[in-house]
Amino acid sequence: MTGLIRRTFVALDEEIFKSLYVALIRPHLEYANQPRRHCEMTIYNLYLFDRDGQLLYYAEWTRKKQSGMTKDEEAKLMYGMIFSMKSFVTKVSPVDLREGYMSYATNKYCLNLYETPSKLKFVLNTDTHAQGIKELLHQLYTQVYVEYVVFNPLCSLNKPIESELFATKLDEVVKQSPAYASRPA
Amino acid sequence: MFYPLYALASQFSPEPKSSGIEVLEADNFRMNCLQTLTGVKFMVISDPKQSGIDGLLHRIYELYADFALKNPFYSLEMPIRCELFDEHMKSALEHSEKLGISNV
Repeated sequence: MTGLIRRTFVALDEEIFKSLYVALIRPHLEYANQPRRHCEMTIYNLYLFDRDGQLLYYAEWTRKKQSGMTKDEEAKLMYGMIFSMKSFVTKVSPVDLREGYMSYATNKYCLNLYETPSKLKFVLNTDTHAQGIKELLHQLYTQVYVEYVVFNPLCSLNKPIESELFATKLDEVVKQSPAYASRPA
Repeated sequence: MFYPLYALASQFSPEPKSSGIEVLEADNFRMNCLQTLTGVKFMVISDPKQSGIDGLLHRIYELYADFALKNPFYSLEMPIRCELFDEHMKSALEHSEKLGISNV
């Protein structure tokens, strides 16, 4: 586009070029920038519970409001809430949760729960526009948890995960997903 | 049973000033919840593919205000036993079902 301008005009004053730029080129750039803003999605944090309700892992990416409790209390309360929600869903739903996935949304965030057949629970808080979280959680389970924790002889399954490799890999998978935006929402 | 979950949801929010649960989705159903300014909650359980539930919730709130609250024989916190309320509710639900299915 700039080449077009340069070729069309024999004498190109700086001011003329600037006004042409504003009129012709900038609208294209603004148009191209806009759609990205609309599909901005954020992932806030992740909790990982084992079958007995113990918190195995907690990761946080952006979090604007703390809940005012210690980590332990918050984890226990979160597990209690998930447990009640699951029993509520089982009572209301005509068929059991086959896929092990459930989510709720408030006006500000969305909580996604993925339960594996071995009763391991992944809880992910995202913003309300996030798509494809079920696949992301399944991917986290198969590609990160199974690879780096289950197959690791030093990691025992009922203790909190201390493996740094797990942490880095988890971070990587989450950041690569389209649901994660590097700009805070 | 649902009430504490609703309150906890706003407490756990990573963003400030979150409301309680508005939509709960599982495999086979979706539940929408509208909380009014007075704390009354309207919950609709439907198929995940059904659309237009928000409008339905607001319509139900209107019906509640018209038939339950304006009724001099109705006392707050009691179950609603009003025929007109039931009739209008039924027609609102059928209307929403027809609209919702055609959108799918």
